[in-house]
Amino acid sequence: MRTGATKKSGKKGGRKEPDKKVKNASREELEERIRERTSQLEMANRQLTLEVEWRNRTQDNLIEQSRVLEAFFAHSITPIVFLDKNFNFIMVNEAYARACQRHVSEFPGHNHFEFYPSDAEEIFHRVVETKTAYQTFARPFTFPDRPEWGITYWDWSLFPVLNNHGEIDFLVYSLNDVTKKKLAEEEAQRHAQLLDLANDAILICDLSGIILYWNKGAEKLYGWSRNEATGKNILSLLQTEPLLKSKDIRERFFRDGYWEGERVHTKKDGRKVTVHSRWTLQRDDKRKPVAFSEINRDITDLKRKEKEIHETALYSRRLIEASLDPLVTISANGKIMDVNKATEDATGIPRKKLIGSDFSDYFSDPEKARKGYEMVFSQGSVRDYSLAIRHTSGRTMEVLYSATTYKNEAGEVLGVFAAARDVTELRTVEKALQESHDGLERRVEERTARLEEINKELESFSYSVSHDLRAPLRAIDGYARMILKKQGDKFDEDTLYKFNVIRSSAHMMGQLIDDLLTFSRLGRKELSMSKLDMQALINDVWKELRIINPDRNMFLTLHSIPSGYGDRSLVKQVYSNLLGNAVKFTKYRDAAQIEAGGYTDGSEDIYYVKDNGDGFDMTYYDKLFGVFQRLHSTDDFEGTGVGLATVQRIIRRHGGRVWAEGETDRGASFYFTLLRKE
Amino acid sequence: MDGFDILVIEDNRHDVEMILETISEKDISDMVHVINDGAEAIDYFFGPQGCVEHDPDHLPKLILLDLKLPKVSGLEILRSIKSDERTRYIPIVVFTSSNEARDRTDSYLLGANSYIVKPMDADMFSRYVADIGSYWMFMNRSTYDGA
Repeated sequence: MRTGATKKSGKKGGRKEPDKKVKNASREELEERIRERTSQLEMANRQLTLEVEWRNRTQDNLIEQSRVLEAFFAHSITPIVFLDKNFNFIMVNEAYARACQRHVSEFPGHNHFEFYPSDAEEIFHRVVETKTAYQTFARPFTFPDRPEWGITYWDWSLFPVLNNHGEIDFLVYSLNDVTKKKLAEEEAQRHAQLLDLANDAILICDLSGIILYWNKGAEKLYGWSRNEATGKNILSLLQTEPLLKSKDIRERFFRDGYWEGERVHTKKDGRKVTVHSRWTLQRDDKRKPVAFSEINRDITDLKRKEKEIHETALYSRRLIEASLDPLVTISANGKIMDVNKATEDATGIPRKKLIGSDFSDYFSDPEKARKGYEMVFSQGSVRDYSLAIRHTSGRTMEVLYSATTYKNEAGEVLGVFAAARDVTELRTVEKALQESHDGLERRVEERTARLEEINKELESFSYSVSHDLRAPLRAIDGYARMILKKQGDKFDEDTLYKFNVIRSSAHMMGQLIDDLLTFSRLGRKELSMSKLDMQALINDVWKELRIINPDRNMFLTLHSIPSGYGDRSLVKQVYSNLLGNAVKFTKYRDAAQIEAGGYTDGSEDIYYVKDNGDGFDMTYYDKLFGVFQRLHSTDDFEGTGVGLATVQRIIRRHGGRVWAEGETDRGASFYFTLLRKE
Repeated sequence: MDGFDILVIEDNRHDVEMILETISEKDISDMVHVINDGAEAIDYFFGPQGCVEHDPDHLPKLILLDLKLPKVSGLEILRSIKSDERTRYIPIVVFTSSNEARDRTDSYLLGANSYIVKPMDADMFSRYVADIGSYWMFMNRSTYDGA
């Protein structure tokens, strides 16, 4: 239409003339007006046509619409109710009636709140008053006629429909039963709360790994809050290897719908955490996988403890293996349960073969080995049990076994733990020691034999001395005597004196030889020990002394004296010497006063002999008991210097001591001790 | 062969002289025979010409025996004489310088009739010899003596 007008306008411009300007102008104006009018009329005409068409169409539409609405109303699964402004039912649809378990015809003529009284009435009134629609979700409602349904939940809306005057014509009340959904939600929430109670991290991801659910346990374990975690990709959040990377695992997981194993995850703070992870595949109704859930338990501590236990075990094992002693555990029936390296080395048999075999098989004396471990089972332990381990090469290792039973926590004996100590070297050393000992013994024997030989030589020497030295002396004396006898009356005084010197010198030498022989014999004489009546012994000696010295004015005072224990003849000799000395050294006294006695002191008896003779100078005490040592001249006191040496030798052989006290011209005291025997 | 009263078995010439001196001085016997070798002493009794075989009626009435002798010891001689039926009754006085206990024991064990240690002192020596001689020759009665 506008295009047409534009064409007309173009024609008009072409007919313009200057002299007919005015006439033309009014004509043009008129024409313009006619054209406008025509156009208007055409327009109106067209509009009328359209209007008629529309009207016709609208009527059709209304009919159509009404039909659609009716169908919609009738067949909608959404319960819909028409109420008047007093909430009387005008009409309910099938869905509503069904929801209420009534027939659609039961409603008209009744009030909504007559049937279903509730606090919603207030809301309804407000809707009417305000003419404003109201919508609510999951509002609880209890059917008064259906208490068994319990609380039901409804999404509903109340919509006022106004007439042309703005007044409420009727109300559209539509509802949606969300009870199931609500209950499901509550259930889900309860589940979520339960899941939150769990210490384990529980999370759900879709198949692409996007986190859908994240429980409190997960928050605690990983440090990420639920809000931070949900929507994120689990692999990147926990910086972990995709489990399903492995084709095998993936296939198995999708087939079984389950997987469990260890995973290492990274926490929010960057620390690693080892978890035991259990995965479940979630499927929809058509068994199509839609998501997977993970339950992850922190086993970092457990792993560390495991590791510690493992390390402890490893340490113990290494200790056992490092032991140079063959170690072995034996079961009650004598089978080897465990061995260490040293046992392998000792037997030359690998542990695989050793374990399970008979313990006693590996010893030179299997019977003794069997008895050994049986003894452990019966006694609880055995120490230093001697055995010899056989090596496959044939050599043996001498060992000492120490073994104890070992028990479980309940105290039941599980077996025997036996440790062998290689004593081959010890034995070698022992042998060497024995040899050395034997050598020493041999040397001692040799030495003894040599000593005995020397002793024998000495003996034969003594024998020779007694015979061969004495013989010439006897000859000297004998021949001097013969000369004196036959020609003595012809000799002058001086010759007689000199002959007597020859004879007395020979006597002196004979005495010396005799004393020396006695002294030397003391060293090898066997002691014949017995209890000694010292008083009797002294009396015997004294009697002999009196016989030898009939002209002497001498007295013996015998004090109390304990009985002694020793060799009778030797102790008698001691008294012979001591009392003999006392007699000898008192020869210049008018009256010789000699005392003898004794007393007990601890474990020994002390005996003494005292005299009032010439005594001696303590300065020379150290020479008193020496052989051939004399403190007096032979002219003053005859003697060979062997007497006190003999006394000392006898007492020492008895385990006793000898000492003396003296002072020149003030007598002497001699003491000796003998060990007491109870 | 003439028999002897006293047989002195002694190798020490000086001792022999002293013994003979006393015997003659005290007039104990003039039938004294001296042997100064152990082997000779054995021969004297048991040799081919020994008196045991050839002159059993003239055995010595007393033997003065030293222990220390050349070749055969006094103890051997003692054993031989005392273990033979024909000679065992001859009185044997061991006259020695040894005072060894062993010698004494052995001597008595082998049947010595007496054991005298030669005294050092010449006077005592002489007296002992005189005492031995008078005791065994005059006081003692042997199996060989007549009724």
